[in-house]
Amino acid sequence: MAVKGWQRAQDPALLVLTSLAAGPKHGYALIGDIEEIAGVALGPGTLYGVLARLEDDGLVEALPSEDRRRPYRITAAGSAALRERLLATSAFTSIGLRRLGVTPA
Amino acid sequence: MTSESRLITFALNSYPSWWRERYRDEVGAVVDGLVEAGRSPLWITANLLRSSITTRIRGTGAPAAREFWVHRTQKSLMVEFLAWFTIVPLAIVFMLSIGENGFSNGNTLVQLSQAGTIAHKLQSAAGIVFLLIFVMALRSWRQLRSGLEGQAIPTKLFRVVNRGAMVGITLTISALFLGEHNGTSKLAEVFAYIGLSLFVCAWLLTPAVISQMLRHGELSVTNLRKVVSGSTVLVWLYGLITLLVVGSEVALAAQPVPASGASYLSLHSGLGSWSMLLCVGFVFLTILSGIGASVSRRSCERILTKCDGMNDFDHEMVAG
Repeated sequence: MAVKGWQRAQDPALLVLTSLAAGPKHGYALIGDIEEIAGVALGPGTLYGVLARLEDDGLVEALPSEDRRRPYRITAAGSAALRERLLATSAFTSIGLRRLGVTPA
Repeated sequence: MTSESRLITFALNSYPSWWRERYRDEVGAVVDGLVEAGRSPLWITANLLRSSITTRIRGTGAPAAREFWVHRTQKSLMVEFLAWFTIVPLAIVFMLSIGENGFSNGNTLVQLSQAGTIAHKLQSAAGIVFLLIFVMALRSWRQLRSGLEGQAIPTKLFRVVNRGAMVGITLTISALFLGEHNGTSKLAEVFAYIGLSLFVCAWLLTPAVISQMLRHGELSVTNLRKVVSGSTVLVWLYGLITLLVVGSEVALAAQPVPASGASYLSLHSGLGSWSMLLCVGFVFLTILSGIGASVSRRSCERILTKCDGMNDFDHEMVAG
């Protein structure tokens, strides 16, 4: 049974980096992809707050604008940060599942 | 243009200029797509407004130029100084109201209820915090002045305000002296009115002087750090005095009606219904200066960690 409130605890920066790991995307495509993979509906304000912060930190970069839409791409530093974070999360997830007596598929 | 699209435009315009220049078109395209897909315009507006507030506080996506962040820090410090100039008169009004409660005028016949005793203790503590606020603000003011010394800042207004305040204080003291020796004379009254008016005018103009100094001058990283940490302490003190003032007003309101023949001198605060307004004023100014302190601290950290164009002295300070 899915607990709805838990979705809110997901970090938007992690969601954006995960979405961009599949290839460059512009804002609207990012919102759609994140909704599909995580079931989280990011608002435009939240999304661009996160993108600006990630851009400041050098984890994503903006590509040349197409009309009014500007695609974003994950940088090498962004990929490394995402890998580190996901590995830490997966180690934690395995411990949790083991304690529950669930064998990961 | 529908009222919903007007709301969205308002929300987009509420972002700071640097953000609008960089992201407005892109976000506009995303918003158009979301509205077409059937997402509620009210939800989009609320999300944009919330995000614009955090963008303003955090400075997300702002230029990396050092000058930008120094001026941002100085502007947020200005907000805190302005709050101080309002908190001090409020605190004085609160202190003056204490005497009317009857338990700080040496009247031993006054009986206090438990609530009254608590209020008395809270008011005494508020007095000590008020003194600390005064000392801390003077310290920050000195740091600010020493940091801006020698810079080409227009000082005409500063000189006028300074002299006005000095003349005001001198006239007020002279009025007290004349009153002491000759009873209430017409001359003492005139001196007191002119002196107090000059002092109040100087007080009201001082924030303008400070903002002029901060707008035209640029503090070094060392001074900026000192003033920012001083202002953070000040905000904590504002929070403390607000709690004490609100607590004492609540305790006074809880004081029971005195028994026949007994006296609390007053049933409620000396300010009566104004005490609610006083409490609201304290809470509002504490929140305002808290936001100012948060912005100045974040901006100062940003200068030290990420900014372009730091000079050698700044780098030494960061390394230190």
